[in-house]
Amino acid sequence: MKENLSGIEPDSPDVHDSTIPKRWSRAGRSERTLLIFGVIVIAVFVIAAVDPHLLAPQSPDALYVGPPLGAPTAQHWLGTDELGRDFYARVVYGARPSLTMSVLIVAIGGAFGMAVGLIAGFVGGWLDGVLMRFVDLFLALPGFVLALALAAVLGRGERSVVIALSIVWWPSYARLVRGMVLELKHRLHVEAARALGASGPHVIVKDILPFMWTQINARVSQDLGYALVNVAGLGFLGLGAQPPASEWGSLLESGLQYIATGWWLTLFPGIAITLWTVAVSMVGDGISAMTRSEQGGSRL
Amino acid sequence: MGWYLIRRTAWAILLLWFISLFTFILLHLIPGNPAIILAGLNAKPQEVHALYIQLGLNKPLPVQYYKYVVDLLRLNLGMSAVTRDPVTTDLERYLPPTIELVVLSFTIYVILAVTLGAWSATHKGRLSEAVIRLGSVVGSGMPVFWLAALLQLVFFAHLGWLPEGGQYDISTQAPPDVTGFSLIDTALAGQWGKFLQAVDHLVLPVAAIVLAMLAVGLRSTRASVLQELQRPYVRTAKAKGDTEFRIMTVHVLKNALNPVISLLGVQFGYVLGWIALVETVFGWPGIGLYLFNSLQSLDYAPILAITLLTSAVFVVVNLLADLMYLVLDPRLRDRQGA
Repeated sequence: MKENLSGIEPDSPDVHDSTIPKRWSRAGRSERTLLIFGVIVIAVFVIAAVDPHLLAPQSPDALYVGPPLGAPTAQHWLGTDELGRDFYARVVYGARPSLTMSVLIVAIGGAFGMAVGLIAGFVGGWLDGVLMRFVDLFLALPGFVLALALAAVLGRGERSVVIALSIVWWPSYARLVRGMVLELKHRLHVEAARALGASGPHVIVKDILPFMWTQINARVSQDLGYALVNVAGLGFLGLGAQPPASEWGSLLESGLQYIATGWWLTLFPGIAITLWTVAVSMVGDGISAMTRSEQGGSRL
Repeated sequence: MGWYLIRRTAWAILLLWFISLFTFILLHLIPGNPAIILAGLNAKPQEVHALYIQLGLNKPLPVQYYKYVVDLLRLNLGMSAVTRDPVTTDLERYLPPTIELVVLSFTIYVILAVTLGAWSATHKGRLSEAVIRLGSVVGSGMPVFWLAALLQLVFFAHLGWLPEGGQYDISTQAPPDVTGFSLIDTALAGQWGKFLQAVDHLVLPVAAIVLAMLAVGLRSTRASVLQELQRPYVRTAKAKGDTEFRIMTVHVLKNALNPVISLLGVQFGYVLGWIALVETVFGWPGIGLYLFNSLQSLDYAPILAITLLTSAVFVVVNLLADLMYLVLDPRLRDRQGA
């Protein structure tokens, strides 16, 4: 454990001591551009997920609104699929199942993992030992393979995918958070709070959690993209949202059959997935840059 | 060193046990009777009943689990409902193409990651930065199955340079099945035309797997080489008049590659996870495609068998990577032994 001798708070989170404009100028110029780009992409995707009709007035399920396997035109921006459905509408409507599952997995896996990490790190002792061996066990196995088998056994559907991926998702959060707690709980301000008689939950909420958000944010923004890639992977294999839902992974899989005649069916679902993963990681980087303190980082 | 060896091996055995427990639990989570699943959906009621008794499903769970593990150790993995063969028989057929694909991809990947990593560490400039950045975007942002599909779109559908998938052209009679590896079988049969065809069919799947991983290995090698280059022995070697090439290959890489090896173990796990997706895109007849087909019909016996197999291989490969790490780095041996 590193001793903190240099001062009381050399790297406190600057959440409290900095205004937004100040933080904004702290991020570099290219970081700001990427951040804006990322925010715009995410905003569009979220609108698509919440109210797809706003972006795509056409129905994603209406058959033969155009020719079967029609190339992109002014009327059908992304072409039509083998049943003449408007492919733009299908991709837009695919945002809801794809993004809902990804966000839920990170939320459930992240919250549970954080809780386990907080308890293990804060309580310590045999409980810490048991919990962390369990975490090690999970992290030493190929998560995607386990999730795939679990989702298959639970039956096709979005619920199975969310449950299966959440179960393999939490251990990495538990390990991350536990590491931070172990470091933080020996900081002076935490020891002071405990000496003053603050209860465990109070210390966790007031003196430990606020110092974690920078790292958690970095992980969450990366994971939102990674979760989508996993969701789409399971969708590609036929698990997850079922037809006629146009989840991006399954959309891509059915497009592959027409690779020689309908390139747009393979290209656009993949672009949607990649745009999302790139955008969330850009926003994550941007926020990290903004919360970076002048002395060189509020990271632990 | 001995103590570490024992502890590390015990951990691997614990992991294998956990995997068997996991698939056992899954087998019982499946709605319906495990005997029906393992006998295959087309089995007659008498067969199901016989299997019910044979599996000991009338016995308490711990006894059932014991029988399950014994069956696993005897490589009795149940019946596929679709192919109506024992899963073990199917795996014998589907495993060689996967091994061929994975081994080839990994070999090329390691060579590329190490040479490019060492090159970019010594040639810091616009070009190497651009290569790394492009690789990172491809490797981290694009799902591997889309990368595979894009390669297929460009090199098969658009340019027509390479075949769509499979091991051979549809009209081609496969060579006699000796090893199951397309390159070795065609070479053994002396059918060099087919050998070249097999190479053609391997290019895109191998490229997809290599490109998906390349950035990670390249950056890790680069970071490690940069660190080693700071060491005094490099200056000594330079002072002695060694060429840069000799310093890199004889001195630096030997030390720099140690951390890369454990990364390779982890990446191997990723590949095992994603191989089903790549094989499906290219119609490569390996266990990944077998898994995909089994998932389409929710044929549980092969799904669970492949889960077991890939997880077990992952555990063993990581064990070997850790042990290799010890062999290659004597400093660790002393430290672990203390």
